[in-house]
Amino acid sequence: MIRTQLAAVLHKPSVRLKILLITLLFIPTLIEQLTMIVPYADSFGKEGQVTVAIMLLHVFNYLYFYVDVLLAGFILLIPDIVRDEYIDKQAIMLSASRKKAAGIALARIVSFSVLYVLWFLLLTVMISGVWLRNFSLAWPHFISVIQKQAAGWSGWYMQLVMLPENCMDYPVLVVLFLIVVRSTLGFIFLGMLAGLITLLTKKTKYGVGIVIFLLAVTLFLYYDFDGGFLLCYDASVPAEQARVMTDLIKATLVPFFTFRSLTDNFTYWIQYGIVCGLVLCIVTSAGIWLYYQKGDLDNADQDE
Amino acid sequence: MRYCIYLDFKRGLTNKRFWAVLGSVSFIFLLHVILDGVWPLTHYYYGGEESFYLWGGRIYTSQGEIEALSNMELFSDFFPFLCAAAYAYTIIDDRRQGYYIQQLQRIGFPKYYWGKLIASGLLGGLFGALCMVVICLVSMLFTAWNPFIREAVDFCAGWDALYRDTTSISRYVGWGSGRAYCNITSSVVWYFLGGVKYFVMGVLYGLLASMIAFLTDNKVIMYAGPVIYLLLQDKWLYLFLDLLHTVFSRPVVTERFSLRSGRILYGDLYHYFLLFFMIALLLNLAKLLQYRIERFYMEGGSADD
Repeated sequence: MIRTQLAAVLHKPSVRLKILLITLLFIPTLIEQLTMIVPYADSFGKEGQVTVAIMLLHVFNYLYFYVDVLLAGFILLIPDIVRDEYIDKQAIMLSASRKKAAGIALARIVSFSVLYVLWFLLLTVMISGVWLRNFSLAWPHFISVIQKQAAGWSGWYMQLVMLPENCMDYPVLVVLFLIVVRSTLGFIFLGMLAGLITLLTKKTKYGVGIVIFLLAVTLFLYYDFDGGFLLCYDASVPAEQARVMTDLIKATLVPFFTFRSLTDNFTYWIQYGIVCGLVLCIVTSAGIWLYYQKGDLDNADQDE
Repeated sequence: MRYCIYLDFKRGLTNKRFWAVLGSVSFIFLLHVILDGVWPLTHYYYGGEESFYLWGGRIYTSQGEIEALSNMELFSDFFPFLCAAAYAYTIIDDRRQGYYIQQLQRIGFPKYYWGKLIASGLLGGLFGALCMVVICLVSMLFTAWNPFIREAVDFCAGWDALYRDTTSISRYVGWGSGRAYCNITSSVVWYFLGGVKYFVMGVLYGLLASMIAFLTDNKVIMYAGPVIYLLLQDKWLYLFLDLLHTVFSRPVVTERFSLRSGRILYGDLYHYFLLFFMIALLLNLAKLLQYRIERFYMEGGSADD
């Protein structure tokens, strides 16, 4: 049933157009990043080159990439992912069960999110594979140089490749797997949240709106206010440390898609991202499940 | 025709959604300015180290805030979306609610089509210009409370004199700073030019959104289309320039031809040239597609999501 649903949605002309547009956006952005990251890595010396694995880590760990391509594309696809009145009714009629319809709706969001991430994973491997021709799974030297630089820093430290300290304690593939899982959970959560809001308000625009709102809050805090606001001023300590800030970055979308600073602890942040993602996915999927048991599944709007 | 444009323009201007979106944008600007000002002011009132709060106070000027607000990532990325939200959505609403049938019976399709297109462009432009007005008003009103405003202005004047030729925000009108027809010294004139730039940019995005609305009858694509167009142009321009890097200087061209609202090139004629070229292209495209859209409307084509 879920395979039929996926095929039905993927055959819609508007979905194909949207995927084409996002892919057309993804390719030059990836090449742009490749043209930037290669000289950037070279500037640290010739001991280590950029590999396809590092490029994957960079793409799925760079907020700019998400904002300009992956999240923009996901927002565009939300109306097709979260709700399809015809398919829902068909599922209820065929199985005569609201539980099964709820399961199918949840499976549709999860499958689309996973497929979405896999598609861009595949594109990254193909394009950066052709561009770099380096499939090594060893950590390149420049990552350790960046981390040594970051270790001597007390505040925030940002670099083009955002892989914080102690990520090199793990093999590259493990780090890549964890980062991709974290991103996928982020997309699943956003899809489920949009689905839940769409069901509750009966308007797809509110489902899309909530994701745009979360993205706007993230951009506002991350780019303009370093993740928090001034809480108070502590005159008893040196001036450089006198700012007591609220730390709101963990309440935004940042932990799903990137790290705040190179001075962060990799293990802690990835744990936080994955656990938080899992909890939020469970909560929102429970919401969708409960709505399907009791709620009114009729009268889907025409907003999308 | 003029009357149709006037009616649509009036309808858009008296619509609460237009003002609600502008209000939301103003609130975000206001929040940004207040939060930016908290730092130097609290330092001052709580008696922080003098050199430290003086530095904070020095950068809190109206000019600094106007630049910060114009460069806001949120504003740059969402500007096309805001211009689409100014009026273009009514094209889809009218179609969904059947109101377009009553209008078509009275005025005919060409007047309906061009009235909506031009009103959407003008209202998108007006929205852009109003954003600049709000940015200036909010910045000027709140930075006036800065206790170091005198020092701040002196500091910024010195900074401007030092870096005028090297920064991308040097104020000129012409084909690049090296070929400027005139350098703008008055802030009023400069920010007025900013309003003009946002107006032209808003017209482009408003027109684009209305074209997408007529063609697709899909709200999500209508709102996202201008943003996607902006991103596509940015990325592909970068890619082509990268391939042609021996012929053109990439940073200069991407800076001037990028359609992101954050580029503070209020007097750059390359920038205006691209905007007017794109508007002319869109109007021609609208003319070419008029018959196809008319047939789609007359046949009552189904909405596709």
